[in-house]
Amino acid sequence: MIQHKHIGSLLALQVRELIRNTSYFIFVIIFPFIMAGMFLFLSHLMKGEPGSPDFSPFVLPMAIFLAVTGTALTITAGPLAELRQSGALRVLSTTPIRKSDFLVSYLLVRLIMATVQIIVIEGIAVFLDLLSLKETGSVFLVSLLGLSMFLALGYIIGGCLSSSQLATNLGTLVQLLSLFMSGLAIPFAILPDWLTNILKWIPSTLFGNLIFWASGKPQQQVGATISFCITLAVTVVLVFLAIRSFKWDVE
Amino acid sequence: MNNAIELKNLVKKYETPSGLVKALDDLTLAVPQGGIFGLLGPNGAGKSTTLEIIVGLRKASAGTVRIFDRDPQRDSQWIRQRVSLQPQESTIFPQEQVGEMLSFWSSLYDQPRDVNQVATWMGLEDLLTRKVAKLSGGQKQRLNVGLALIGRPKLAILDEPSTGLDVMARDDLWKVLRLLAEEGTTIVLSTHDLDEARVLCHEVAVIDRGRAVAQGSPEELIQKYANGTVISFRVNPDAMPDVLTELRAFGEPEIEDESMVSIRTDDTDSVIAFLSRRPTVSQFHMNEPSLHDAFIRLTGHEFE
Repeated sequence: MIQHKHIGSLLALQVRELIRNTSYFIFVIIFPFIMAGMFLFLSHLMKGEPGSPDFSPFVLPMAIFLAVTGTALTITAGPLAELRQSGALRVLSTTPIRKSDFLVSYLLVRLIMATVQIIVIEGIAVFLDLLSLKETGSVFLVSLLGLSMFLALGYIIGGCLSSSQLATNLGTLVQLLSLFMSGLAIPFAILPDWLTNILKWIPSTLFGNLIFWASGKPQQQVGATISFCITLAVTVVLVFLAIRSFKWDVE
Repeated sequence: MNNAIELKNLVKKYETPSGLVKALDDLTLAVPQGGIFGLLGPNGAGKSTTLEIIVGLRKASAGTVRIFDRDPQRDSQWIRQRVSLQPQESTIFPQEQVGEMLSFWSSLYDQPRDVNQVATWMGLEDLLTRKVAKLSGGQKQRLNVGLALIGRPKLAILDEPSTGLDVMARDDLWKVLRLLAEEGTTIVLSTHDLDEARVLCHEVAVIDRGRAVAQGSPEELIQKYANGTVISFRVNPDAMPDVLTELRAFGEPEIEDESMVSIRTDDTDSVIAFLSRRPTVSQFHMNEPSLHDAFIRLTGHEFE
């Protein structure tokens, strides 16, 4: 547990460092809404066109997916590598603060930020009639599972790489690749079967699958139970790897 | 318990692409409690590695380290409350303001100093709301020293603290360090500024190629290892042979150019008296023995 006397100042430091890094912070905050808005607009434009795909079921899952991955990858991996690159972690290790306290506070702030984002997105989805109120709980819980999985992945990237630029770029690449392979941005219905059969087993796709399931959308490719079990197992493995692989200092 | 730090037979080896490098080679030294202790040596001598081992950032390959008679690896939490390191890194937490940074650092310690007092010591009182990223190099250096002092350490480790400071800021820093030393804080600083070491440090250890080759007060080292005062003067070239011959009674003179001669001697008065009687000699110049001389004598090579 975090030492009580440090928690306030640590969390305040982490919040300030996060929100004052405006270029990343604002992008991660607004990107899910921009993409969701585009999909809503497309959906509105194509409404009534015979044979055109319906994008509306994708709006909520994609927005949540982008919020979760943006926070877990873009603003976790790069800044974490930056802390090592700048020597901040090294200097902190000579102070009375425990390393674990610092890292827990680092992740806690991001966890809270993504949680707030998910709640706001759900609220807007309910308002726009894209989600029913009774489904908000399960969507929230499923989102937390995905957030844990991606936070562990962001932590691995930021915990191993010593270049913040490289870590940020890799985080963004993983985010975009996993988005496009998850069936949330490109509907699986327009992909060949052989490709769908491969992509549907990727953990990020299974996470998207769970959001579809929790929000009552018919686009899920794999059963909810098996999606949940695999996602949970991958999360546990990634958390283990994140803890084992983290480098505090550059030799 | 008399010593703040005791290092015995320290060895530190690094794996590098070109093979094993020995950064510390059987280094032994003791730092007494209280006062300002200087680790003196050129770049690459092993000063930073020594400091990093003292604060527990690196493990020695062999040898023992005792800080206030404790093992820094086993009693790390006790030591971290009492031993501080001045970060050399220039911009840790760049989004923080100076005041926020000092407050955060002070919150980590049980009995911190007042933030405003440290800010005033470091000449940062007008910069408390400025972001760390916007500070100049010297301002960042002053902040880093302030961070090392704010936890009221028993032992403050400062890695080249006056690097990047202008003369006034350096003098202010020296005043603060002297004040803290008088209060009982042990200050260990690494420096390659020999003047700083002589003026500021109560005791120094000369580090060369990973070894402590000598330890003592600057004056002791100068007396013991620097060979006398260097007297240089101009002499009429026609009279040079005679003067050189007679000067050999005091030491071995060196011809700097066709009319400039220097001699290193412990018997300054006699040499000056001798030269004063010679109308062919002019433009006396005396160089007092220095730490630089002592360093060259101790190591057999130039400081830098």
